[in-house]
Order: sequence, then structure tokens, then C-alpha cells
Amino acid sequence: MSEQKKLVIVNSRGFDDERSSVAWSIANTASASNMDVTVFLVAAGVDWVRKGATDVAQLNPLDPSIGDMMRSFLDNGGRILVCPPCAKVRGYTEESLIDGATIAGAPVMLEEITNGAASLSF
Amino acid sequence: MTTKYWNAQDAGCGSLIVGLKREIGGIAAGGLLQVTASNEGAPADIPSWCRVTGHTLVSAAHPNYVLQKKDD
Repeated sequence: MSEQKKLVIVNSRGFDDERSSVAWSIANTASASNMDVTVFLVAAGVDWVRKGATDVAQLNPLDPSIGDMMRSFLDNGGRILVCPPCAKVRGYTEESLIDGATIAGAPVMLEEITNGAASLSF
Repeated sequence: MTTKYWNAQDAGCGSLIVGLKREIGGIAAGGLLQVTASNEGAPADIPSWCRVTGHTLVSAAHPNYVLQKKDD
């Protein structure tokens, strides 16, 4: 219990998929449960961290808005990585993204798994 | 000993846990947090979160729970 467990969540789901809300809810729960959590956004999942993207996004009315979940996740020490080619193909640069989101690829995510992280994918 | 009250209403899953972390964060070690949580998942989720985080579940009689914050 004293050692912080690592978790990687790979999210490829975008604005048209309720599973995005589940992914962010689980990420949020994990970061509020003393876990060291990294969310790796790929494909359509990258859209979540574009500045302004989550202002009105709420995919499940019983979950908080995605923006609220992302802010809480970051406040609790969660880390967000953004797949470089997935960002580039959408025209996003680091300046396009919210504070706390970092463009970094599979090696950084895999390093977490090499260091013992469990993984979930959506 | 300080007892803080939080009415979680029907908050479930992530919302319940994030709220528990927020509320217990505001009290001193050894202090009590009394929670009303009517969500159907609470009887499983609150004890599990206490086991993971190390806080003590003093009592659980759904929907009423009392948690004691762990020592720092």
C-alpha cells in the first residue's frame, strides 16, 4: 500500500463515443486512489486535450463533464501523454493543447509498463 | 475529535471517489468523515477505496459511512 501502483490508460475514443467518459472516469478514480496514472491519448482520443475542446463536452449525464474530470485528474497528479503523429495529423502542436498535456510517444508509455505499470485500453 | 459531514447524494464511481479524496483531504489525521452516499455502488466502492488508501472504515450501514483519516 505504501508503494504507489502504476497504471497506464490508452484512450483512442473521441467525442462520439461514451467509452471516452468511462476512460476519464476510471483515470480520475485511479488518481484519487493513490495510483500513479498516465493517460496515453491516441487517434481520436487526442482531441480531448485541444484547448477549449471540453468546454461543453459531457458524454454521460451521470458523469461530470469531461473537462471537470480532466482538471481533477491533473490536480491529483495524473499525467497526459499525446501520441505525436496522431497530434500532427490533426494539425495540433504543443501550443494547441491544454496545460498538462505533453506530446510524447509510445516509448514513454512503454517505459511505464516496463517499470511495472498495469494497462487498460479504450 | 473533529467530525466532518459530506452528503455525497447519488454520486457514484469516479465522482464518489474524487469527492471522498477532496473531503478527507480537508481534515487532520485521525479526524472523522461522515458520509451519506446513496449510490448503489457505494457499499462495495467505499470499503475498497479505504483498503487501497489506508483510511479506516469505522462504520458502514448503507447509506451512512464513517471514515477515519489515516496518520500522515
